[in-house]
Amino acid sequence: MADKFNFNLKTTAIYRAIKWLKSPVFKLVKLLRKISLVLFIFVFLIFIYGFLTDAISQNNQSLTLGLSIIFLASLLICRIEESFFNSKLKNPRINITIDQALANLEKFNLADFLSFEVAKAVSDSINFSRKKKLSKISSTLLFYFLILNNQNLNFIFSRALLNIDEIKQFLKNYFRTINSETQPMVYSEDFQESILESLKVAGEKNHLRIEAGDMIVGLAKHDLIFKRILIDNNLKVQGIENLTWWLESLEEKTKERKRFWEWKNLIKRGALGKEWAAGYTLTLDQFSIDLSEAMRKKGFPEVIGHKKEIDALERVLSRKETNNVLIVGESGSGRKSMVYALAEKSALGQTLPEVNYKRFIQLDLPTLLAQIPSIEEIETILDNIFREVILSGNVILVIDEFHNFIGSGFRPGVIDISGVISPYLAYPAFQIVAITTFEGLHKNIEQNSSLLSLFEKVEVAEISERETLMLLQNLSLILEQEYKKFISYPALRDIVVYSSKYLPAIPFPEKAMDLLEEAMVYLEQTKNKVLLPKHIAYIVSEKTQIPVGEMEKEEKQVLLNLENLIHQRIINQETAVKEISTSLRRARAEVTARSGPMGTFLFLGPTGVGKTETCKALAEIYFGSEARMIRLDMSEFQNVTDIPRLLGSPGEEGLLTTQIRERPFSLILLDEIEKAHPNILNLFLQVLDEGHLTDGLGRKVDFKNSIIIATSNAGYQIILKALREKIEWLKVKQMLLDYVFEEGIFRPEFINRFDAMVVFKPLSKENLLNIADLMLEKLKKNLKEKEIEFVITEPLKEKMVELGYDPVFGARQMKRVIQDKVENVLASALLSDEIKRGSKIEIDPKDFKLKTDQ
Amino acid sequence: MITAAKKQNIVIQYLIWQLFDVPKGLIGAWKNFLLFNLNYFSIVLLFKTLFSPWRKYKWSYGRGFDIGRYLETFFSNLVSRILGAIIRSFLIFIGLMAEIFIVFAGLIVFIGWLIMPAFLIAGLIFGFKIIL
Repeated sequence: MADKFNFNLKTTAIYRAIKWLKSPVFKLVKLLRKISLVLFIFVFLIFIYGFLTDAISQNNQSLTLGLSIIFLASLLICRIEESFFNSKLKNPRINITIDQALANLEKFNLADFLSFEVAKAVSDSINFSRKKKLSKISSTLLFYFLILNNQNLNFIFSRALLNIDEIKQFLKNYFRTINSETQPMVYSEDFQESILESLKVAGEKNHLRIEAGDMIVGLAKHDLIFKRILIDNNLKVQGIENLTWWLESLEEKTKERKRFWEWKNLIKRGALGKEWAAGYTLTLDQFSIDLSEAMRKKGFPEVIGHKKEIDALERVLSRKETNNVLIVGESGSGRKSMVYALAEKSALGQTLPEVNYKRFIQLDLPTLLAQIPSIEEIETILDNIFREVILSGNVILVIDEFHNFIGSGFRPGVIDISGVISPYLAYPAFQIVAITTFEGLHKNIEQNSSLLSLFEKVEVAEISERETLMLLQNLSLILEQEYKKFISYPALRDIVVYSSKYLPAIPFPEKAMDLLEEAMVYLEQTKNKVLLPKHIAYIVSEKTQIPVGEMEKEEKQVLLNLENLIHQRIINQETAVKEISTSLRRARAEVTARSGPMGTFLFLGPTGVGKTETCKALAEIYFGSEARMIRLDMSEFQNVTDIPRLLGSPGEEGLLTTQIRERPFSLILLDEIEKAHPNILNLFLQVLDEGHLTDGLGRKVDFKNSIIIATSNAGYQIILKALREKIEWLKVKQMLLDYVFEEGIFRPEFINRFDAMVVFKPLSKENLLNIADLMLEKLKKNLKEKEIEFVITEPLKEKMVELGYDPVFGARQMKRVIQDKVENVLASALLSDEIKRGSKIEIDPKDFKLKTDQ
Repeated sequence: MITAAKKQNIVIQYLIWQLFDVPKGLIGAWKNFLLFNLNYFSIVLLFKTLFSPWRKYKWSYGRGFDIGRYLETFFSNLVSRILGAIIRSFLIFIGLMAEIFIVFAGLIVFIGWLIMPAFLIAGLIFGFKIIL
């Protein structure tokens, strides 16, 4: 590193600016300007008074006039000097881009690329080290002087809930503990790394030089003390990066707004005469919302995300033919904001010439339907409106929820306009942007293929988490003003993380925006001033009924103790339970990077050995309730035609996909997987590997928060045989694998995608004795609630096992025997009032007669 | 070692800033205002559509030939076009006036900036002269 790190501040142009700032010419200019202003106003007012009233002698009048001119000139000179310093001296021209410098580090003096603020902090660090006789100029010194002199960085720290004064004090105390040394002064390793990192950050952002924000990111990555502060406060470097982006974008916006002479600011005032070349749209104006005007009134706010889709929208609209767009996306994915963004770009003249300065008007069909009762009249009005759109020549019509108005008949709030609109759609002068959902597209619009052919589809994907965070940051400023509260960055970060994890059915950005707004209302109710992560955790827990926030701690406990917890319900199967527990721990600790579900297992073994029971136990332990298990009997999916039932189709909810969209934190049990059609098994390859699937309506379904367990009793004969012949258990697994591959039951790539293939042993007589005990204990517990004491005797248990023991059916037979011999007797006795409250009962194993103590 | 940012004498830097950098910015802003004004009053577009019917109000001549109806439609359309031309000319005129105003205002600011240093020095001398 040392060979590549050329860094000499004193030879740079920016260092001269630092030196100039210390000279009285620039140091005192601000003060001088203020004094000049005050004196000018004061003297000039006296002069005006004397001039108007003649109360002052001629000589004194000349004196006040002369002084006024001197102070005015001095004021202007100071102003010019300040401008010169800020715009010229502070920004010396750099002829090399940062990327060029990064490619040839050894050729450049990296100090040339520092901004004034960073150079000042470096200079102060050098001076401090010299004064204290320190041998190293460390990144911590740079960090201290950077936050000491740059008030604007307070924004980053306060949003991150870090107390900047405490940090400054801490650093000050820390420097007191460093002893002076006699060695020559050098830049420490972390200083060098921080500068190089910040150079990279500045390069990525296309900055000309390393700004204070870039430097703070570099320091967050390499300065040990700053890193420690971040870790202690549960923050990451990414957080500082995001906050820097937020700060920089705010600064940029303020700067841009001040430069009123820029084209971008001037064009916002619109145009007077453009409309005069277009026709009137009297009827349309009655039943519409002008989106372009709405954006103008809001001052053209920044619209984040969907850049690709907006570009596609622009391209289609500027075509000569088929220039109608059908925006397809889930509601809440920002479909409408894309139209807003385009309306804004068009109003500012930033789109393609064919789309520039067009009016984006949203047809308000619900109002039209509410006001006009007769269908004939509505159709006449619509025809009139469409005619006006063509005549006006500058309207792009927007229809929201288009599927509600196509092929759905006529009922309150709904109408089929396909007949009226179709003839117009073919005209190039008639342009519409229709918005619909995937479901609406498949269910209604696709039925009318001639109508669909007149549209070009633009599919809207969810915006990324980073874009959502940017959007939340912009929204925060508005909400803060509205509610008079402060929104912290960790709260925003948790909104994105939680909404991604716990609310997968709703797309970004809507779920995150809704969560933020709900959190603000909650904050208002609780009279808190600052929005913190705990508030977000509370709101999410309320919404999803999943204990968010604390869950992580609980989850760790559960994982560490998983074997014991499962064994409370499952008898025997030590190896299987251990295998499940260890692979689940491996998966959740994220020892290896994974993209699939939380855990995926294939349970093999004969029936009645506890495969399903293990799943139930896991669902209860891990997700809090047996009801969190989605059970699919795969024998119901033996044909390819069953796929729509599994994944959903227009008009039909998918048995798997809908449930998992609604309850992502679930255990999916695929019972008797070997009976499913091979093509259905292929579908699961992607789920097991990538953790997601596209459902029948084109929506992405996420399985990342679920555990998938497939059970099969394929090859159970081998297990039984192995047990009879006392073959070593490890070999049995291999034999089983050979068997399923030979028979073509599963393909190797299918088996390989599971975290573990778990083989369940058949139960021995001793195991069954324990199971009988477990089952009878359950019965005992139920009876206890009725204040009846049920005594479980050893002979009864043995009898149950004797009757229930069956190596083929396992414990399943036992359940039947207990039902038959015990539960039935108890039921009859209870109904015939043979058993009274408070009585003690037992069952005679010989004849299964009830014995009571009464 | 390549120097990425050249060091310059502060006086030369000031002269470059005063006589080149800021005037360049002023010309840019001046151009923006001139173009904005043209766009605001949509002068080019209004010229192009000067004789188009007002707000695209146009009557169809219909099928068949009927001299009375033909003349009526012709005059209606003519009125629409003349009305359009009058209103547009009015806006074009205001726009052009504003454009001329911006030309002069820009010129004053531009020249004002260039002579400002001399003006300020002269101001100081004049001020001191009055006092003394």
